[in-house]
Amino acid sequence: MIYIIKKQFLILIRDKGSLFFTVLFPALLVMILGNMLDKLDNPDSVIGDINLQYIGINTKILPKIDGVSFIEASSFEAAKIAVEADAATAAVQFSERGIELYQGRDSIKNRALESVFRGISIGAVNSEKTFVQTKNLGYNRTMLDYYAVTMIAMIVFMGGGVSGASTVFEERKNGTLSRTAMSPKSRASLYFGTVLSFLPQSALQVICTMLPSILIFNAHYANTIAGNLLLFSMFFIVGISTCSVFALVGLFIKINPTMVIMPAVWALMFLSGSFAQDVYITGFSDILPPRLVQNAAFELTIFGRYEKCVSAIIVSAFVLALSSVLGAIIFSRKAKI
Amino acid sequence: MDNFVSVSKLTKRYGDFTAVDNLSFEVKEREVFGFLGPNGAGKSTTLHVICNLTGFDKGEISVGGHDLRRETRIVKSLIGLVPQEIALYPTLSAYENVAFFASLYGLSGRALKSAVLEALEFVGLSDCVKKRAEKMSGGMQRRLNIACGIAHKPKLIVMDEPTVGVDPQSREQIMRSIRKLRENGATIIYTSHYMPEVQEICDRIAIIDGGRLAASGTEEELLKMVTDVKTITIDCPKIDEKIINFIVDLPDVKRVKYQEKLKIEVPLRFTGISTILQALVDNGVPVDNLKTDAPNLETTFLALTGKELR
Ligand SMILES: Nc1ncnc2c1ncn2[C@@H]1O[C@H](COP(=O)(O)OP(=O)(O)O)[C@@H](O)[C@H]1O
Ligand SMILES: [Mg+2]
Repeated sequence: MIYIIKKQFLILIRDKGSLFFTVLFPALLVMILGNMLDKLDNPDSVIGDINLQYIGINTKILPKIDGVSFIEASSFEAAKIAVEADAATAAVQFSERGIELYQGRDSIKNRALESVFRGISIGAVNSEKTFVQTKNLGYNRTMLDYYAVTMIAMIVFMGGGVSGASTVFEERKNGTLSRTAMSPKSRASLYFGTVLSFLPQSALQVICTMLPSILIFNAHYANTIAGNLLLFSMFFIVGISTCSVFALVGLFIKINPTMVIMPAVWALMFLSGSFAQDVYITGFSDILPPRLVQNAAFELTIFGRYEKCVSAIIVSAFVLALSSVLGAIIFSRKAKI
Repeated sequence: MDNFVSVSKLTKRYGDFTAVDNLSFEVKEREVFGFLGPNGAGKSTTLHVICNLTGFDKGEISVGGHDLRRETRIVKSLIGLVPQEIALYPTLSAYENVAFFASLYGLSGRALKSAVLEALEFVGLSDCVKKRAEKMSGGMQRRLNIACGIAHKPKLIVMDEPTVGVDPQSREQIMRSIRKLRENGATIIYTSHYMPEVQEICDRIAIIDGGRLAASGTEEELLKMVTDVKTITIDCPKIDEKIINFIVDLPDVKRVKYQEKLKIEVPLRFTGISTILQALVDNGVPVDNLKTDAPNLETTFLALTGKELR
């Protein structure tokens, strides 16, 4: 199988289209978003003052952040009512379980808030030390953190979908599919080799988003190295299984998959509320894979909880195994390919 | 010589359409077997069945003594296909293309490298080892297409119209390499609808039309099937009945008539042309021009199928 991986890698780095999706598109998105958010994040002009009603924590250990004022509420319920009445941006309840955030209607402020709370290292509410360490966090440079995760999720699904489906399409177009299939290598091993050859691509996609956003725009993901590795692993394996699923789809579609897959993935991303909360459909959007992956990532980056990431990895591995076995069987059984 | 490929009563349908209809033929070891037929005759379909690229409805196929259905993997390892449509990775170099396909047949390391370079040299592409397929001319791509099919040194090479749309130079190179392949011991099935090529390199020929076998045999056998007569035409002034009678009485001569020119029908293997000329010269008849119209594959094909080759 090594020769298939090698061949696919050569094709990847020589093909402008796939190189674009793997390297340039993520990097470009980081640049554009990074720059845009840098401007957007001017605290005075765009976001405005954030008015937080909080409960359950000692006032002295709250971080001092320009533009964010903390007002102690009598109860969480009362704070929520204030939010409903637009008297406060959000209500926060600090407790042993973590931080509960009740957000208002201003989506920009909400995003900023999420960044703030990600910054306050939520994992350890009962440890005052953590708060002290993160004291000079401002919300004006961390909106990218929020978007970066959304962005990676998008790239992983988009890139995986397009490259997964177009691999078979391209092979068929070049005529190389028949040529490969007539070799004495079993069809199943050829198919597995192809799925495996998505590995470098999937890794590159995530690296090309995470690295520049960290190095150039100072983006923050998880707070620990282990957390970041976990995050990377999740996106990586989600990427491969997306490739695998769409390679399976690609076995059946005879038209250029970019035409079909691109709109489909965009629709998927939109419906899962990745681009705008407005298209969010309760009950439906929640179960869409991009949404689940994004949520798992936020759980990790904002709240320091890794369970959902681990589940996402397990589910993705399962999907990967299932789809590639299914693909191998179908590919082997097809008389005419 | 033993049969290397045997196709017996092969039938292949696409829905209601029968592309190959009860087709049987044999290819002997180390021969170049020509597969001749107009477009849509079912040539590619037959070859694809042999290469296991598509299933078939009825029939038995064996390659090198192995049954295609029961010993698929062995059969596959014996075959190298040069497909009709160029099948290459456009962004890979000549070397990388050949190396990838050869590696699917178990070649690796130094053996792979030398096999690839040998195949490229074979088709005259030694100078463009690093050139990407997409940057090559049509003729060069055709030759690379061949190299990809032969690098693993298959016992049976199946070539589906390998010279379509190539420049004369590439065509010559391809013809040369086919001859060399046979010298090296390969058995070759060669498909074409271009008559002179088939005549030039094939030992035996099968003519198929509408999925059926119209005829098969050596070129000579095929020609005989239609007619075993050739016509000698001599440009000369009107001659005496006496000379005509003399010619008619020569052994093997079938018919003689004079219609502006002297026309003599003789068997294909007639050897008495010099006797006829001598008789004319002895009688003071000036001979201006002489030509023999032997039936060729072109006319044979027309007679057998009622169609002209494209
Ligand atoms: N996949 C297919 N589905 C339906 N018909 C096909 C298919 N492939 C070939 N045919 C038909 O089978 C016949 C034989 O085709 P082919 O073997 O390609 O002919 P040749 O190679 O002799 O030109 C043609 O009439 C063609 O239209
Ligand atoms: Mg054909």
